[in-house]
Amino acid sequence: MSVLWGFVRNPVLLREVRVRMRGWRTPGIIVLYVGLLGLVALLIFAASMRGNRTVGFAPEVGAVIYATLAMLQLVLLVLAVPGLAAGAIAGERERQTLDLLLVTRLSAAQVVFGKLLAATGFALLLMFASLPVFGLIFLFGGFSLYRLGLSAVVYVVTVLLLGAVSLYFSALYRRTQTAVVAAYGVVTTWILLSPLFGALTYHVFFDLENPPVWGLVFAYTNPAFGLAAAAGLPLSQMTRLYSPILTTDAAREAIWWKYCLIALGLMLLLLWRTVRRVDPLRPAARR
Amino acid sequence: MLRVEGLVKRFGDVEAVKAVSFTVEPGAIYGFVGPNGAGKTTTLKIIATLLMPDAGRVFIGGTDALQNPGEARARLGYMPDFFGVYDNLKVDEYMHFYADCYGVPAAGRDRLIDSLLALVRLADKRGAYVDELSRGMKQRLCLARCLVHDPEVLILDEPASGLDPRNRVELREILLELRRRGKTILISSHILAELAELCTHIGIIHNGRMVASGPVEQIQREAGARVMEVRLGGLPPAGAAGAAHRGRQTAEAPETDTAGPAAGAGTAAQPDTAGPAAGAAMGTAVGTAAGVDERLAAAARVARTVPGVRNVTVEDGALRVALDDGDQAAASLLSTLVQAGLPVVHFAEVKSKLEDVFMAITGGEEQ
Repeated sequence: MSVLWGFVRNPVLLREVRVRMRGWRTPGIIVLYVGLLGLVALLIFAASMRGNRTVGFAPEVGAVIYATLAMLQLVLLVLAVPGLAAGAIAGERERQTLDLLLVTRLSAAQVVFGKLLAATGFALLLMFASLPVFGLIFLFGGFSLYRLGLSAVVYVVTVLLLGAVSLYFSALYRRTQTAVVAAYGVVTTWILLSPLFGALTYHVFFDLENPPVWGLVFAYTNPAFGLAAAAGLPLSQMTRLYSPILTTDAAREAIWWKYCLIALGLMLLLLWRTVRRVDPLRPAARR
Repeated sequence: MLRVEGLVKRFGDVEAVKAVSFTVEPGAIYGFVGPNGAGKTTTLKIIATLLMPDAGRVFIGGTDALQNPGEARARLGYMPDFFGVYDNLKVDEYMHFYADCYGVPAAGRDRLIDSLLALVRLADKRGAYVDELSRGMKQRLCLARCLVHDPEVLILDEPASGLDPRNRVELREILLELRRRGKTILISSHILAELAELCTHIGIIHNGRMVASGPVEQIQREAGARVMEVRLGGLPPAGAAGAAHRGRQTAEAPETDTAGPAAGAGTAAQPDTAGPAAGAAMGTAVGTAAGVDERLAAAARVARTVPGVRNVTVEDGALRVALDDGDQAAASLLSTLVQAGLPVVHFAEVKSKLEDVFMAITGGEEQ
């Protein structure tokens, strides 16, 4: 229990939170983020209500707003997390404060987890700050809190995985700039290009009647598919891409938790590698 | 309190530290001296558990630091040669942050931080942002940070580098106070005079190898560096000379200074011809700063040709000549200077300084 408390009450996390919350920059970013999502929601709402629509129960409008906001939020998080996490360890090294940290009683694992929680904590704060905007969809009906909860789980797992990838590059490279470029390169290629490659795999390179099972790797490692499976209709239509292999709705919906499991496994693997790189007395450490 | 046994560290093909061993007794201030690239920082980083050696062991008060780094870190405070500070963090928060990192109990922590800031004379800066402090203040703050968990051993890598004289004096006083409080201090520095006033023990590392280690007096004795002070007639007294020629120079430094017209005026610049010409050249230059430099440089060059002379420096208008132990070298030196026409008016043995010992041991290589 005390070990867990040691990780939660992490001095690195507390310092980063304290410094980040100082001044107007952080509240400004939150306002901007929520404002952007709110504006998009309003525009979709306005566009949907044009013509001969009746006011009141309109589940299809709510579903469209939710699908758009959910994907927009995913893109924003993909863009935000590497920027927050990729400089975390490389920045300490550049600032010449990493040695001062490593010579304390904090273990390398505590330093890395503190950095992970500090970087991803802000992204999660943005996510939770946007909940009122997502709450708008309940005005239209046709959407369950359960689906919103599943989507939140996918978001949290995705943010942690993005943070772990970025931290790994931060430990791998000495310079913040290199780490940030590498993290953005890998994350955007993985998230934005893998669905495209998945689609090509099925529709161009392979026989649709007998697609290879390994093609599911794109479904189970991409947060967009995880989110689509968790969010239900209309986003779950995306998962129909895999209907030649995942023939039932249940199998397609299971994508979300399989994605989460694989993502958590990847995250732990990357964090383990990061800790080994940061620990000064490990052979893999890069000083 | 601190024992280092057979440390070896390689970076690729380069062996930076070669079987370095030494011991620091409890309560000692151990000066770790060596030229640039000798392996000082690498050794200190290994001791501070920040670098894994290829071979060797480090014990801090009985704890094997490389086997139990957590326990060792609780017993040592480390101040690197270069370090940064966090933006947007106040002095008070900085100290609390490191106190958290070292697991210092919250109860009584405010009082502890107050006392540490008072020790390093930063009590009035408690609310200031650390990135806005001067370099000297940051150094002192970093020292206070080292002490936040009350370590038994302090490892300070060039703590005075880049500090102005006032800050150096303050730092020295703080270190002496820490010694009085029972701390064992391992300090590396380029400023040997400062270490001489501070250290009880020294270790000299050269090309990755420990060439001497022990109490200062013992090292001075073992180095066998007998130092003769030589003054020449016709030069201004030490005070006046000091005004024109303050501080200490190695014998090579004036050579470049006299490479202009003065060098042409006298062939005294050449040791092999430094006979009567040396005296003639000096006679023309008495009283001016350039003349003082020129005459001392010429005398230094003559001295360096004498067998048994290890090193020659110029300080306060006099030559300090480090010699092999025994009377033969001293006798040869005096007779050579006199035969060269140099008006020697003072020739006496003086207590060797740490610089003399260092130069004697390392063969006068640049620090």
